[in-house]
Amino acid sequence: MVTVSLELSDADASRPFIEAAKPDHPSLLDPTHRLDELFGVVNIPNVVWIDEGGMIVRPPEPGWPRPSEYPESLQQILAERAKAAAEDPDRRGKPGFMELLMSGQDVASYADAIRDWARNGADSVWAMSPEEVIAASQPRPVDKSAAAAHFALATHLWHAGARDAAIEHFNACHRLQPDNWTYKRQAWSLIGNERVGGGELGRFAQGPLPGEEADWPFDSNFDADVQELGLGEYYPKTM
Amino acid sequence: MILERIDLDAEAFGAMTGWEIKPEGACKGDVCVPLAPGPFDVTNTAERLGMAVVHDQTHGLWALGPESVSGRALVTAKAPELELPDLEGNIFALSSLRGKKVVLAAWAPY
Repeated sequence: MVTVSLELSDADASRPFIEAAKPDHPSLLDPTHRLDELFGVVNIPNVVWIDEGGMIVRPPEPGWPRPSEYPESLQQILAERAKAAAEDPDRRGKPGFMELLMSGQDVASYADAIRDWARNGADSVWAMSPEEVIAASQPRPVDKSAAAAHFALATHLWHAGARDAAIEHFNACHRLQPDNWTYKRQAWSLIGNERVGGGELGRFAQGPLPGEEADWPFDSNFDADVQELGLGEYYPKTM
Repeated sequence: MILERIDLDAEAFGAMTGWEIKPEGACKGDVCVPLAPGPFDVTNTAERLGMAVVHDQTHGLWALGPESVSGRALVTAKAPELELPDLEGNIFALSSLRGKKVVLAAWAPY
Protein backbone atom coordinates (compact mmCIF):
# COMPACT_ATOMS: atom_id res chain seq x y z
CA MET A 1 0.00 0.00 0.00
CA VAL A 2 1.28 3.45 -0.94
CA THR A 3 -0.77 6.60 -0.41
CA VAL A 4 -0.06 9.85 -2.24
CA SER A 5 -1.40 13.29 -1.37
CA LEU A 6 -2.08 15.48 -4.41
CA GLU A 7 -1.61 18.90 -2.81
CA LEU A 8 0.56 21.72 -4.10
CA SER A 9 0.76 23.52 -0.76
CA ASP A 10 3.52 22.59 1.67
CA ALA A 11 3.59 19.38 3.70
CA ASP A 12 1.65 20.95 6.57
CA ALA A 13 -1.54 20.86 4.46
CA SER A 14 -1.43 17.05 4.40
CA ARG A 15 0.30 16.46 7.74
CA PRO A 16 -2.73 16.40 10.09
CA PHE A 17 -4.50 13.78 7.97
CA ILE A 18 -1.41 11.57 7.67
CA GLU A 19 -0.56 11.85 11.35
CA ALA A 20 -4.15 11.01 12.30
CA ALA A 21 -4.11 7.93 10.04
CA LYS A 22 -0.75 6.73 11.45
CA PRO A 23 0.02 4.77 8.27
CA ASP A 24 2.44 1.85 8.39
CA HIS A 25 2.90 2.11 4.62
CA PRO A 26 4.74 4.77 2.57
CA SER A 27 2.69 7.96 2.65
CA LEU A 28 3.96 10.39 0.03
CA LEU A 29 3.42 13.96 -1.13
CA ASP A 30 2.86 14.87 -4.79
CA PRO A 31 2.89 18.68 -4.98
CA THR A 32 2.94 18.78 -8.80
CA HIS A 33 0.26 16.11 -9.40
CA ARG A 34 2.68 13.71 -11.10
CA LEU A 35 0.07 10.98 -10.69
CA ASP A 36 -2.22 12.84 -13.10
CA GLU A 37 0.47 13.00 -15.79
CA LEU A 38 2.08 9.60 -15.28
CA PHE A 39 -0.95 7.41 -14.58
CA GLY A 40 -4.00 9.44 -15.65
CA VAL A 41 -5.39 10.09 -12.18
CA VAL A 42 -8.34 12.50 -12.49
CA ASN A 43 -10.01 12.45 -9.09
CA ILE A 44 -9.46 11.55 -5.48
CA PRO A 45 -9.65 8.91 -4.25
CA ASN A 46 -8.20 7.11 -7.25
CA VAL A 47 -6.48 3.73 -6.93
CA VAL A 48 -3.97 1.90 -9.18
CA TRP A 49 -3.07 -1.79 -8.84
CA ILE A 50 0.51 -2.84 -9.73
CA ASP A 51 1.68 -6.47 -9.71
CA GLU A 52 4.96 -7.95 -8.42
CA GLY A 53 6.64 -7.41 -11.80
CA GLY A 54 5.81 -3.71 -11.89
CA MET A 55 2.94 -4.09 -14.37
CA ILE A 56 -0.24 -2.10 -13.86
CA VAL A 57 -3.18 -4.51 -13.67
CA ARG A 58 -5.87 -1.88 -13.05
CA PRO A 59 -5.44 1.75 -14.15
CA PRO A 60 -6.65 4.63 -11.92
CA GLU A 61 -10.25 4.24 -10.82
CA PRO A 62 -12.33 5.39 -7.85
CA GLY A 63 -11.67 3.14 -4.85
CA TRP A 64 -12.05 3.08 -1.08
CA PRO A 65 -10.93 0.84 1.79
CA ARG A 66 -14.41 1.08 3.33
CA PRO A 67 -17.38 3.47 3.30
CA SER A 68 -16.19 6.93 4.33
CA GLU A 69 -16.74 8.15 7.87
CA TYR A 70 -16.95 11.93 7.79
CA PRO A 71 -16.03 14.02 10.83
CA GLU A 72 -18.97 15.73 12.52
CA SER A 73 -17.93 19.16 11.22
CA LEU A 74 -18.00 17.92 7.62
CA GLN A 75 -21.33 16.16 8.18
CA GLN A 76 -22.71 19.52 9.33
CA ILE A 77 -21.44 21.25 6.16
CA LEU A 78 -23.04 18.54 4.01
CA ALA A 79 -26.33 18.74 5.92
CA GLU A 80 -26.43 22.53 5.42
CA ARG A 81 -25.69 22.04 1.72
CA ALA A 82 -28.54 19.49 1.42
CA LYS A 83 -30.93 21.83 3.24
CA ALA A 84 -30.05 24.74 0.95
CA ALA A 85 -30.59 22.54 -2.11
CA ALA A 86 -33.97 21.36 -0.79
CA GLU A 87 -35.06 24.99 -0.41
CA ASP A 88 -33.81 26.00 -3.87
CA PRO A 89 -36.72 25.73 -6.34
CA ASP A 90 -34.27 25.15 -9.22
CA ARG A 91 -32.90 22.04 -7.50
CA ARG A 92 -36.10 20.62 -6.05
CA GLY A 93 -36.72 17.06 -7.23
CA LYS A 94 -33.19 16.73 -8.64
CA PRO A 95 -30.49 14.44 -7.22
CA GLY A 96 -28.73 15.89 -4.19
CA PHE A 97 -25.03 16.77 -4.04
CA MET A 98 -23.96 13.58 -2.23
CA GLU A 99 -26.21 11.43 -4.41
CA LEU A 100 -24.48 12.85 -7.49
CA LEU A 101 -21.09 12.21 -5.91
CA MET A 102 -21.65 8.68 -4.65
CA SER A 103 -23.92 7.06 -7.26
CA GLY A 104 -21.19 5.45 -9.41
CA GLN A 105 -18.47 3.09 -8.18
CA ASP A 106 -19.62 0.79 -5.36
CA VAL A 107 -17.76 1.98 -2.28
CA ALA A 108 -18.55 -0.98 -0.02
CA SER A 109 -17.29 -3.77 -2.28
CA TYR A 110 -14.09 -2.19 -3.64
CA ALA A 111 -11.82 -3.57 -0.92
CA ASP A 112 -13.16 -7.10 -1.55
CA ALA A 113 -11.97 -6.82 -5.16
CA ILE A 114 -8.47 -5.91 -3.93
CA ARG A 115 -8.51 -8.87 -1.52
CA ASP A 116 -9.51 -11.16 -4.38
CA TRP A 117 -6.54 -9.93 -6.42
CA ALA A 118 -4.20 -10.27 -3.42
CA ARG A 119 -5.24 -13.94 -3.13
CA ASN A 120 -5.49 -14.89 -6.80
CA GLY A 121 -3.09 -12.56 -8.64
CA ALA A 122 -3.41 -12.72 -12.43
CA ASP A 123 -6.24 -15.28 -12.04
CA SER A 124 -8.38 -12.70 -10.24
CA VAL A 125 -11.42 -11.71 -12.27
CA TRP A 126 -10.41 -8.10 -11.58
CA ALA A 127 -6.84 -8.31 -12.97
CA MET A 128 -6.57 -6.85 -16.47
CA SER A 129 -4.21 -7.70 -19.33
CA PRO A 130 -1.74 -4.97 -20.43
CA GLU A 131 -3.95 -4.21 -23.45
CA GLU A 132 -7.03 -3.89 -21.24
CA VAL A 133 -5.14 -1.61 -18.83
CA ILE A 134 -4.13 0.79 -21.61
CA ALA A 135 -7.64 0.79 -23.10
CA ALA A 136 -9.23 1.42 -19.68
CA SER A 137 -6.86 4.28 -18.80
CA GLN A 138 -8.18 7.79 -19.25
CA PRO A 139 -8.67 9.11 -22.79
CA ARG A 140 -5.95 11.63 -23.53
CA PRO A 141 -6.26 13.80 -26.61
CA VAL A 142 -3.63 16.51 -26.93
CA ASP A 143 -5.95 19.01 -25.20
CA LYS A 144 -5.50 17.07 -21.96
CA SER A 145 -1.74 17.25 -22.38
CA ALA A 146 -2.15 21.02 -22.72
CA ALA A 147 -4.29 21.05 -19.55
CA ALA A 148 -1.43 19.41 -17.63
CA ALA A 149 1.02 21.97 -19.03
CA HIS A 150 -1.23 24.84 -17.89
CA PHE A 151 -1.56 23.20 -14.47
CA ALA A 152 2.24 23.02 -14.19
CA LEU A 153 2.51 26.73 -15.06
CA ALA A 154 -0.26 27.59 -12.59
CA THR A 155 1.46 25.67 -9.79
CA HIS A 156 4.84 27.25 -10.53
CA LEU A 157 3.43 30.77 -10.71
CA TRP A 158 1.28 30.29 -7.57
CA HIS A 159 4.42 29.46 -5.60
CA ALA A 160 6.20 32.44 -7.20
CA GLY A 161 3.45 34.75 -5.89
CA ALA A 162 2.09 35.55 -9.37
CA ARG A 163 -1.46 34.74 -8.30
CA ASP A 164 -3.41 36.37 -11.14
CA ALA A 165 -1.27 34.64 -13.75
CA ALA A 166 -1.59 31.35 -11.86
CA ILE A 167 -5.38 31.63 -11.82
CA GLU A 168 -5.41 32.34 -15.58
CA HIS A 169 -3.50 29.10 -16.14
CA PHE A 170 -5.77 27.20 -13.71
CA ASN A 171 -8.81 28.40 -15.64
CA ALA A 172 -7.21 27.43 -18.97
CA CYS A 173 -6.42 24.00 -17.52
CA HIS A 174 -10.00 23.51 -16.30
CA ARG A 175 -11.45 24.51 -19.69
CA LEU A 176 -9.18 22.00 -21.49
CA GLN A 177 -9.84 19.09 -19.10
CA PRO A 178 -13.12 19.70 -17.27
CA ASP A 179 -13.32 16.06 -16.14
CA ASN A 180 -10.10 16.29 -14.11
CA TRP A 181 -11.38 16.95 -10.58
CA THR A 182 -7.94 17.03 -8.94
CA TYR A 183 -6.95 19.98 -11.14
CA LYS A 184 -10.21 21.77 -10.34
CA ARG A 185 -10.58 20.97 -6.64
CA GLN A 186 -6.90 21.78 -6.05
CA ALA A 187 -7.32 25.27 -7.48
CA TRP A 188 -10.72 26.01 -5.90
CA SER A 189 -9.47 24.86 -2.50
CA LEU A 190 -6.54 27.30 -2.53
CA ILE A 191 -8.87 30.29 -2.70
CA GLY A 192 -11.72 28.66 -0.73
CA ASN A 193 -9.38 27.93 2.17
CA GLU A 194 -8.28 31.56 2.25
CA ARG A 195 -11.85 32.85 2.13
CA VAL A 196 -12.98 30.78 5.13
CA GLY A 197 -9.83 31.56 7.11
CA GLY A 198 -8.26 28.10 6.95
CA GLY A 199 -8.99 25.63 9.70
CA GLU A 200 -9.28 21.85 9.72
CA LEU A 201 -11.68 21.69 6.80
CA GLY A 202 -10.85 25.00 5.09
CA ARG A 203 -9.73 23.23 1.92
CA PHE A 204 -13.19 21.70 1.54
CA ALA A 205 -14.48 25.21 0.78
CA GLN A 206 -14.36 25.11 -3.02
CA GLY A 207 -16.65 27.86 -4.14
CA PRO A 208 -17.60 31.45 -3.36
CA LEU A 209 -19.03 32.36 0.02
CA PRO A 210 -22.60 33.70 -0.10
CA GLY A 211 -22.49 37.30 -1.32
CA GLU A 212 -18.98 36.93 -2.77
CA GLU A 213 -19.95 35.26 -6.03
CA ALA A 214 -18.75 38.15 -8.20
CA ASP A 215 -15.32 38.01 -6.57
CA TRP A 216 -14.72 34.28 -7.25
CA PRO A 217 -11.78 34.15 -9.68
CA PHE A 218 -12.49 30.80 -11.32
CA ASP A 219 -14.85 29.99 -14.19
CA SER A 220 -16.43 27.25 -12.09
CA ASN A 221 -16.76 25.86 -8.56
CA PHE A 222 -17.36 22.45 -6.97
CA ASP A 223 -21.04 22.80 -6.18
CA ALA A 224 -22.00 24.19 -9.61
CA ASP A 225 -19.92 21.67 -11.55
CA VAL A 226 -21.29 18.68 -9.63
CA GLN A 227 -24.86 19.89 -10.34
CA GLU A 228 -24.05 19.68 -14.06
CA LEU A 229 -23.29 15.94 -13.78
CA GLY A 230 -25.60 13.00 -14.26
CA LEU A 231 -25.84 10.16 -11.74
CA GLY A 232 -22.73 7.98 -11.71
CA GLU A 233 -20.50 10.43 -13.56
CA TYR A 234 -18.43 11.75 -10.65
CA TYR A 235 -16.96 8.38 -9.59
CA PRO A 236 -17.66 6.26 -12.70
CA LYS A 237 -18.34 2.60 -12.11
CA THR A 238 -15.46 0.45 -13.35
CA MET A 239 -16.28 -2.88 -11.71
CA MET B 1 6.55 19.95 -16.18
CA ILE B 2 8.19 23.34 -16.23
CA LEU B 3 11.03 24.23 -18.58
CA GLU B 4 13.02 27.42 -18.21
CA ARG B 5 14.58 26.80 -21.62
CA ILE B 6 13.35 24.90 -24.63
CA ASP B 7 16.74 23.57 -25.81
CA LEU B 8 16.93 20.46 -23.60
CA ASP B 9 19.23 17.67 -24.71
CA ALA B 10 18.00 14.11 -25.18
CA GLU B 11 19.31 12.96 -21.80
CA ALA B 12 17.54 15.74 -19.89
CA PHE B 13 14.35 15.12 -21.87
CA GLY B 14 14.49 11.43 -20.98
CA ALA B 15 15.06 12.16 -17.30
CA MET B 16 12.12 14.55 -17.19
CA THR B 17 9.60 12.63 -19.24
CA GLY B 18 10.54 8.95 -18.96
CA TRP B 19 10.91 8.80 -22.78
CA GLU B 20 14.40 7.54 -23.60
CA ILE B 21 15.84 8.68 -26.92
CA LYS B 22 17.27 5.67 -28.77
CA PRO B 23 18.27 5.01 -32.41
CA GLU B 24 14.80 3.52 -33.01
CA GLY B 25 13.03 6.59 -31.62
CA ALA B 26 11.59 7.81 -28.32
CA CYS B 27 10.95 4.77 -26.12
CA LYS B 28 8.99 4.15 -22.93
CA GLY B 29 8.43 0.64 -21.61
CA ASP B 30 7.85 -1.58 -24.63
CA VAL B 31 6.74 1.28 -26.90
CA CYS B 32 8.99 3.19 -29.32
CA VAL B 33 7.81 6.13 -31.42
CA PRO B 34 10.00 6.85 -34.47
CA LEU B 35 11.45 10.36 -34.63
CA ALA B 36 12.42 12.48 -37.60
CA PRO B 37 16.06 11.97 -38.68
CA GLY B 38 18.63 14.46 -37.45
CA PRO B 39 19.75 15.85 -34.11
CA PHE B 40 17.40 15.72 -31.10
CA ASP B 41 14.93 18.58 -30.97
CA VAL B 42 12.49 19.06 -28.07
CA THR B 43 9.75 20.69 -30.12
CA ASN B 44 9.74 18.04 -32.86
CA THR B 45 9.94 15.20 -30.32
CA ALA B 46 7.12 16.66 -28.25
CA GLU B 47 4.99 16.94 -31.37
CA ARG B 48 5.63 13.28 -32.32
CA LEU B 49 4.66 12.20 -28.80
CA GLY B 50 1.60 14.44 -28.65
CA MET B 51 3.05 16.49 -25.79
CA ALA B 52 1.64 20.00 -25.61
CA VAL B 53 4.20 22.79 -25.23
CA VAL B 54 2.68 25.88 -23.59
CA HIS B 55 4.70 29.08 -23.45
CA ASP B 56 4.08 31.81 -20.88
CA GLN B 57 5.88 34.67 -22.54
CA THR B 58 5.37 37.13 -19.68
CA HIS B 59 7.19 34.90 -17.22
CA GLY B 60 9.68 33.35 -19.65
CA LEU B 61 8.49 29.82 -18.96
CA TRP B 62 7.51 26.80 -21.00
CA ALA B 63 5.58 23.82 -19.76
CA LEU B 64 5.59 20.41 -21.37
CA GLY B 65 2.48 18.27 -21.04
CA PRO B 66 2.50 14.47 -20.89
CA GLU B 67 2.37 12.31 -24.01
CA SER B 68 -0.94 11.80 -25.78
CA VAL B 69 0.43 9.71 -28.65
CA SER B 70 -1.69 6.62 -27.85
CA GLY B 71 -4.83 8.65 -27.19
CA ARG B 72 -4.79 7.21 -23.64
CA ALA B 73 -3.08 8.27 -20.43
CA LEU B 74 -1.07 5.04 -20.46
CA VAL B 75 0.96 4.02 -23.52
CA THR B 76 2.23 0.91 -21.72
CA ALA B 77 1.04 -1.10 -18.73
CA LYS B 78 4.57 -1.04 -17.29
CA ALA B 79 4.31 1.20 -14.23
CA PRO B 80 6.34 4.38 -14.64
CA GLU B 81 8.99 5.21 -12.07
CA LEU B 82 7.64 7.52 -9.40
CA GLU B 83 9.87 9.17 -6.82
CA LEU B 84 8.14 11.35 -4.24
CA PRO B 85 8.94 12.66 -0.75
CA ASP B 86 7.24 11.72 2.50
CA LEU B 87 6.41 14.22 5.26
CA GLU B 88 10.04 14.31 6.39
CA GLY B 89 11.35 14.89 2.88
CA ASN B 90 12.71 11.37 2.42
CA ILE B 91 12.41 10.30 -1.22
CA PHE B 92 10.61 7.01 -1.83
CA ALA B 93 10.82 5.17 -5.18
CA LEU B 94 7.80 3.15 -6.26
CA SER B 95 10.19 0.69 -7.97
CA SER B 96 11.62 -0.26 -4.54
CA LEU B 97 8.43 -2.30 -4.02
CA ARG B 98 9.13 -4.54 -7.04
CA GLY B 99 8.37 -8.13 -6.01
CA LYS B 100 5.29 -7.08 -4.04
CA LYS B 101 1.76 -6.26 -5.11
CA VAL B 102 1.16 -2.53 -4.76
CA VAL B 103 -2.08 -0.64 -4.26
CA LEU B 104 -1.30 3.00 -5.05
CA ALA B 105 -3.99 5.33 -3.67
CA ALA B 106 -4.28 9.03 -4.50
CA TRP B 107 -5.98 11.29 -1.95
CA ALA B 108 -5.95 14.99 -1.07
CA PRO B 109 -6.75 17.25 1.89
CA TYR B 110 -9.56 18.91 -0.10
